Amino acid sequence: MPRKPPAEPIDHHYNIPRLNRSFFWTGGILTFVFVLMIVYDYSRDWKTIQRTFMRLDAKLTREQALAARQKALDDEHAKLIGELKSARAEIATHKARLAKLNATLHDLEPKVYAADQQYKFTKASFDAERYLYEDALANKPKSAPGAKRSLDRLTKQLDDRTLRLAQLKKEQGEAQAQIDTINARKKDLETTIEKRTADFRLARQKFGTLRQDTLFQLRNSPILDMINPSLRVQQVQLPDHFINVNFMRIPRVDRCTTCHIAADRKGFEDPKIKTVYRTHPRMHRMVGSESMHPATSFGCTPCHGGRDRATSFWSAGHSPVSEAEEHAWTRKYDWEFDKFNENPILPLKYAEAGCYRCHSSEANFPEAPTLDAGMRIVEGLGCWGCHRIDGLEKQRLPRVGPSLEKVASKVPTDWAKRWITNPAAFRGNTKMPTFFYQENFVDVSGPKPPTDAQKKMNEEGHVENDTMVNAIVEYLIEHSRPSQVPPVSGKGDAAHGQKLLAERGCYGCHLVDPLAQRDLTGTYRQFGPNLAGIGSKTTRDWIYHWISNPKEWNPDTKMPNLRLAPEDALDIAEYLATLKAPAAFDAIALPRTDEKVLNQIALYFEMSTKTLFDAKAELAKMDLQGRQVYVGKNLIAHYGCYACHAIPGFEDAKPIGTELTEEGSKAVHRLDFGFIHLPHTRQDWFRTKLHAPRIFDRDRARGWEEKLRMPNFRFSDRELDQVLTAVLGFQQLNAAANVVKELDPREAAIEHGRRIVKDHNCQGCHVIEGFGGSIRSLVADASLAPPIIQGEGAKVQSDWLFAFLRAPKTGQIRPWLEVHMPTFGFSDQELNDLTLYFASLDRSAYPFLVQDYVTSPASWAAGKKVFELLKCAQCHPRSIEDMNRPGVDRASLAPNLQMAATRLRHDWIADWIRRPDEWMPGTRMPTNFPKGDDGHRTSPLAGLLDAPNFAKDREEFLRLFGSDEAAKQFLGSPEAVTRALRDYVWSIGVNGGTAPVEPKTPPVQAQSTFGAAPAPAASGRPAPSAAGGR
Amino acid sequence: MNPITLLKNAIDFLSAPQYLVSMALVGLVLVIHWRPMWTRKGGIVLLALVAGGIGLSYLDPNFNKVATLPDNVPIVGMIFLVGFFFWFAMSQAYENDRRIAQGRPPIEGEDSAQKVFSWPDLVYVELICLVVVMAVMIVWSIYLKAPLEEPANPTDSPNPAKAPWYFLGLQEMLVYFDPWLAGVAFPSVIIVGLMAIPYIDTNPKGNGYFTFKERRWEITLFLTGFLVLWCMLIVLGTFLRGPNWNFFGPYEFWDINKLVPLNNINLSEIIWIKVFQRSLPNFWLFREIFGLVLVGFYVAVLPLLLSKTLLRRFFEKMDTPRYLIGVSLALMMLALPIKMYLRWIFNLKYIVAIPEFAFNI
Repeated sequence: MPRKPPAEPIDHHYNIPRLNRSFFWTGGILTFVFVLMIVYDYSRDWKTIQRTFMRLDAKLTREQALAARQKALDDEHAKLIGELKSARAEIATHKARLAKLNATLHDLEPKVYAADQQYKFTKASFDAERYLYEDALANKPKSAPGAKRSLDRLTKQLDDRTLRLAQLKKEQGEAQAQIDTINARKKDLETTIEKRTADFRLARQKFGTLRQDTLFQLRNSPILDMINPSLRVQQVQLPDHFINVNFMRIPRVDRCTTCHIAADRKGFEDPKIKTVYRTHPRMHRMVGSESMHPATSFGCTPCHGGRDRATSFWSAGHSPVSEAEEHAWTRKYDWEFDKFNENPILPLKYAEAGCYRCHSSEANFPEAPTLDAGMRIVEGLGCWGCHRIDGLEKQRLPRVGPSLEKVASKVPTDWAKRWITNPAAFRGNTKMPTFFYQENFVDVSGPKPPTDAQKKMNEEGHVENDTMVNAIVEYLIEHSRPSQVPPVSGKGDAAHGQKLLAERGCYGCHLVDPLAQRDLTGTYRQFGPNLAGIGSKTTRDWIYHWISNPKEWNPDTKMPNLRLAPEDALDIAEYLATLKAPAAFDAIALPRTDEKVLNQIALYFEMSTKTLFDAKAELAKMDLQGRQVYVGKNLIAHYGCYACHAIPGFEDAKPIGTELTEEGSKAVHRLDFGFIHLPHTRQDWFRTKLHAPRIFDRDRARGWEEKLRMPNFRFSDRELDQVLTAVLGFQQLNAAANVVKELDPREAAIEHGRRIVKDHNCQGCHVIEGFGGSIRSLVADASLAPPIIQGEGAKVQSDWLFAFLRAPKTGQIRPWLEVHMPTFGFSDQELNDLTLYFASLDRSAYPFLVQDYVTSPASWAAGKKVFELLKCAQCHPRSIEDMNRPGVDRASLAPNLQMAATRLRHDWIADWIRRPDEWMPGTRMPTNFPKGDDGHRTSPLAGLLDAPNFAKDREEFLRLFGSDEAAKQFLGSPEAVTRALRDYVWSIGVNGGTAPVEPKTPPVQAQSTFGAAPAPAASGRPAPSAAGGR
Repeated sequence: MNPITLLKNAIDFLSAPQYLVSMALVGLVLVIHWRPMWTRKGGIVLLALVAGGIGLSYLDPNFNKVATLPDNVPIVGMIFLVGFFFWFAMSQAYENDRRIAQGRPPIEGEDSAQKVFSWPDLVYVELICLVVVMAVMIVWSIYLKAPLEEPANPTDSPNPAKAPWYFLGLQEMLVYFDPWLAGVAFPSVIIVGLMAIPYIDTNPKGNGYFTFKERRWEITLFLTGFLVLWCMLIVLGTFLRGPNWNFFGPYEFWDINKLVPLNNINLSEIIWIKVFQRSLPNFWLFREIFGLVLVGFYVAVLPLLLSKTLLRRFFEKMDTPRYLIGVSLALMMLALPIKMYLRWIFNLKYIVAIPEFAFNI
């Protein structure tokens, strides 16, 4: 039943026209807001960036295209075009013939098609019929003859059709060949032109794809862009790198290339290009598809940090380097501090921190200079002594500071107290940090004026520190091991001592400069202590005994034995004893022990294991000295002095600091910012902490036992950057094991060697792997400096090297050197590691070598002859007697060749003679075989023979080789000549340079021990050992 | 000292939970009886006070930092929304009371005499509301981005770790009650209790119209629960609870180092050690006997006592089960402020503490 309409109009509760108007307006607003939403959703920074990049790319491509066109459309091109025209004209003269041939082809085409089809059909029938026949043979022998007949019929048919097809194709081919002959020249020209213009055409084609035309706009317009946009988020999935959220690993998906489009593309290196569009500055190491860290498997965020999936400047976690940059970013990109981002991008100056996570097993980081410097400081200052760092712990570093086990016999008590009070006052560049009188004891309010209460705290802190310094020194003196420093009679010549100090190479590790600033990264000369002021620190007699045999005083010292003659040692000691401490150091007031404070400190330590009563009773038993020693011992434990110094009673003590192995990944909220207002980032906290280690105690009211303990290392800004890079690099791995740099046996051997080299400061004197040789700057004549160690593994026999490193004998090879290789007292393990290190660097055979090379007398004789011809003996002595002969200027000599057979590798000798300039640039050894125009070594000897002065030599060579031709061939070949020279030189050490006996067994192949040695110069590999490194 | 700083310090001091809750409880009872508040003029003054106070507070950097967090903006909105509806309901109620006193029907009575079609009168208005709400939500979502954080890491929880805004009242209860009670028992009772209200409160007065006079007790009780113990605790949890769940005044800097002593002791310790000066008995029943008796009194005896005295009127009006359930629910609700005061005055941790069964009250 239909509902009845209301009898009379019902009043509306609302005014309907008003509702209509409201609906109109609100609907309008919603529509506007909806459009706004689409606009906001559509407009993303990365789209703008991609568009801008396309324009930039288009511009560069256009320039490339234009340049390529310029290059392609040269005179040659015009000539080719002219030739092409003439070729075409020539073809025109054969018009009639061409027309006929084309007609023939035209006729043939359907016939070939039909014949081909017939052949294929017949072949199909034949295959089917053959199966039937085979089936009949196997299963239905009766019907086999019938099947055979029809198969035969088909076989014949197939043959006919094959033949017909072949005939038709042949006709076709002949006609085509005639046409090709006519067109041949034109075709050649066209191909040449095409090849010459390929670059231009490719660039033009690419330029076409970069145009932002209507189709591009349409594809990328709002809503339509869901179909197939060309502007899109780019990402690379990194299953081996993950974000660790505990109990779960989220694989990284790096979207950085959405904006950094050209990061892995060459051609955008120009520094004028905005950073976001630029090529990665180190493409050969990172990001590049051919580098060892391609972007497809390493991405960006695993090293740089940052939010992998982010596609906007802010959310990616870009971190400003400076406050100025922060302001600029805030203005330009709405950047703000993101407290939720636990792993923001490392500021650019710390970028190298990203390397350490995977490369912690390496000793040096030559490719990452800031990190390398940072690690050098962390190792050198002994950070690892208090703070466990897994990567360094595995390297088993020696303690940083000197042993204090016998300190009482070495230094005066007052000196020790002043030294602990302020080490930098004694030596500006010392590694020893300042523990006492730091701001949390004597300046608790920081830069703002202290309140009265704080003033009192400062005074108390000063007294506490005074008492502590005294107590520590008392313990060290009291527990110092008894030892005698026997008095040395006589007086040395200080002036001679000063000269010796410079000549013997002491300056490879030591400075004598009261004003020196610490530099552990630029020079290797601050390895040992600065000797300035040493005369105030210890006595002449102690210095004498120490430098005469350092290991006798302290078996663990790194100081080597220079094998000084007693009188030389005395001279040096005499000189060093004259070096006195700066006046400011002697002016430091000696700390005064406050007995009340001492008792309080002692009570605190006693109460860690006892009740108040027992503790007091225990203390009452001690006299003042006893309490001082007791407090000193506990303070040494409290401040961790034993982390750097060997101290009696602390042989097995555990480090006191926070472990730093994963400090770079530590959650920021776990860092105590105290009352200091800083941006809450790891780098800001670490930097502040390193700069002022006690700053987070500012305004705190705490007892001495609760105060921060980290000493002040007086870092410079540069050092802060470097150390911070290292500390930020101590990160959680958060990557699969396979991406970590794993050392193969050779690399591991090299790292072992590098570690020993670093720990013994070999680079203070020698250039090794391209680094070091700091002492060279002090030696006027480069040839008088310690040798550059390059290609050592390929050069010397491992046996010899082993023996030499164990007990160096000076004066045998280069007697003119005043600088002496010291005796380091390496262990067997270290000696093996070192010899293997050098052999591995140059990929040389290790350890066994053939000793009795058999030389053919002919080669030996030729070598001897060339030896004389080149006047090698002018510089190279052939025996000790040669060197000591009267009238010989020892300083101008070259290495003694008597040693060659026992020291050098057989094959290396020839290689060295052939190209000494490549083995050791700057060597005094003349390059007798210069490189020719083709890059191959040439021998000028062949030409010499024709000169009239050499008639006698010519005769001799004729006799040796039988014919002029053979002699010239020998002398013209650098390889042959150097091999012969080698054979002669070898004989010097073996039998004094006499002719070898005719061999009974075939000679050993020269290549046998030289498999992986540097290839001859022709291969274009210049410096052998520099390339052998990494 | 600068008067503004002085005022801020005073507000910081007074917004500590003990004062805030006390003022809210007393203030609520007073204000619902204060007629001028529920006129149009009173509403405007109230709005001006709240909006002006909050608006000026935005000038304070510490307040601004907390109140402008995308998480917290809706809570500021909630203050206004809840405030408006509170005022609206009360002003309607007073108006109706006046009309009823004059012998006229309530406003809603006149309205309901009139009949209109659902279209356009209802649906059209709803549509317009829908459009407006959508527009507002879209604009909101454009300008205040969702405050998304890093993937959750169980070893790296944020400080303060806050529940979603609607649970902040419950989280505040956790300060005073055992997690089993505050986190499990009470929320269940709240839900069941709210569902039970229509069955307990069978008073037909106020059905379909606002009134205060006719339902004084019920309204006071409900508003105490809803406004003070729920909405206000949400506001407190949002704006006044900072790192380590410490209390911070609205203008105070959220300093992570702030330390507040939390030396709370159990009732058994107060009685046995402080009063009797004896060591605690080993047997839990003996040890906790006073607390158990007290709780037993509160839940079992008190309703009966009340039925004879204070709530006699209700007991007579309602049947016994209704009365008992209703009073139990009300007492449970009031247990929260009671426990709060016990904590603030006596540092009381638990009235009954039986760690043997992980049972604490």
